[in-house]
Amino acid sequence: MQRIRSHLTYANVMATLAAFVVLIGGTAYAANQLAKNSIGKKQLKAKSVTTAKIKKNAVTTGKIKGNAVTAAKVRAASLTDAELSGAVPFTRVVEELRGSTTVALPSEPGMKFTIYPISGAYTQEAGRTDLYVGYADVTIAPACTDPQVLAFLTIDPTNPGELSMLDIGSIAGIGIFQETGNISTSARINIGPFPGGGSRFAPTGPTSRNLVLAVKSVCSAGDGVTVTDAGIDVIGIK
Amino acid sequence: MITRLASAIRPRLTYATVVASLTAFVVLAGGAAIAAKQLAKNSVGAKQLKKSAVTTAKIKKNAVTTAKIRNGAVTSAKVKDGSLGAAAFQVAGSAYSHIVFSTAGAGAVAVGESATAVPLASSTYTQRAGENDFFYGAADVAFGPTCEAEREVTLYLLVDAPNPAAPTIADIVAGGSFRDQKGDVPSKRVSLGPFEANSVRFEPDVDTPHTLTLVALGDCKSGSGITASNPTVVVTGVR
Repeated sequence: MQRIRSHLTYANVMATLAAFVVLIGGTAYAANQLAKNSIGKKQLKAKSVTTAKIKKNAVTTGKIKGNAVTAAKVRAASLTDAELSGAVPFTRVVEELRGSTTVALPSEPGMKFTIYPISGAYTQEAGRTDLYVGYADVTIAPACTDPQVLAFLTIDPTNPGELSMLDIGSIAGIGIFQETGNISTSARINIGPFPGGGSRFAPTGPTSRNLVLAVKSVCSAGDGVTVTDAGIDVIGIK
Repeated sequence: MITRLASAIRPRLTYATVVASLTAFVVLAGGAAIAAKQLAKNSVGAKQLKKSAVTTAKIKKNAVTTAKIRNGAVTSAKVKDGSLGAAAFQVAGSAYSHIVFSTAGAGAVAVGESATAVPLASSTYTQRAGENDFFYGAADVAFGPTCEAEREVTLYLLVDAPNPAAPTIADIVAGGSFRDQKGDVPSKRVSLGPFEANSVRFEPDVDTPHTLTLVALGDCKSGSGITASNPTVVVTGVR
């Protein structure tokens, strides 16, 4: 004991403490004090960066390699139209033209038509084939017997108020309503593509078009067909 | 010489000197390596990582999950060309033209001069608000040996027809016909396409249920024996 006490000098005690600190606590000390930017790719083990180590939203565009995202990486049925650019070559409605004026149609035979007011000017894109559909909602008064309503959707017609065979090339859509007696008080006339002329093929340059809705009615007796609202959709195909 | 050097050093070989020297050696020579191998849990943070230290090889397979990717980060250039198929898209909600309903049938029915229904497995569907619907279809028709040419069949697809046995032009959305003039075509698959007028059901304001009926009419110069079978109906929607 006396022998040990004789060696308890300041230097011995300090040296022992220093060794203890370095050997036992030194590791933790070193880890907590890693210098900024001290861990490079050489220090990181392969596959050491797991999901939990990556911060939320940390992977930005620049971090993703081009072509790295394949179908298998995309969640099934997760992509919507919003992610697609406008240039996607699929079929969809490209113009919606509407009117809501109430217009009475006189009952008259022949080819005299009433022009239903719709702001029908639009531009067909180059390279896009356009198809036309529409509707006209009508009311039918009890006074009109055996009502017939004919709706033509025309494009750039020369005389839409009185269509003739010369205008047949301008007809892009047709809708018909006819009834025997007087059953319906209202009806929707669906206007579908006109056989042989229901589309305008892809122009080489942007092309201005004017859509005109020409409607007429015939009652075998009486009168009273009125268009309450109507619309045209242009369906673009690329 | 060596004996003189040893006797000169020995008086300085105290406990303190030896321990201090060993400590210095451990710290200077091996300390860094030991420390690196024994880094405490979660001790390497963003500050300790060098720029671009996390290379592809350091990232564990499938470690980059949805939450780790910033919104909008996956641009066109990041998607492999030609890799995305229909499975990736929400086709049902798309504004682009696509099939919104289809049905078929099986059994053969005898076809005469009046409209006869060709049964469909499912005859009702709902048109979505704001969607324009177009109608297509097909059916197999066959002429029996007693049905003399000239012979023909016409098929009509009706929507919400109040009386399918006597359809009006407003009921018909698609049609197709076949005429065998010489009597040398005993059977034919007849396609139905958009009808002359009213072939579309324009976009309704609200979801609208519809009833579809496929009817067939046939005529032989003399005799009978026309059948229709295996009908298929497809509705395409576009918004």
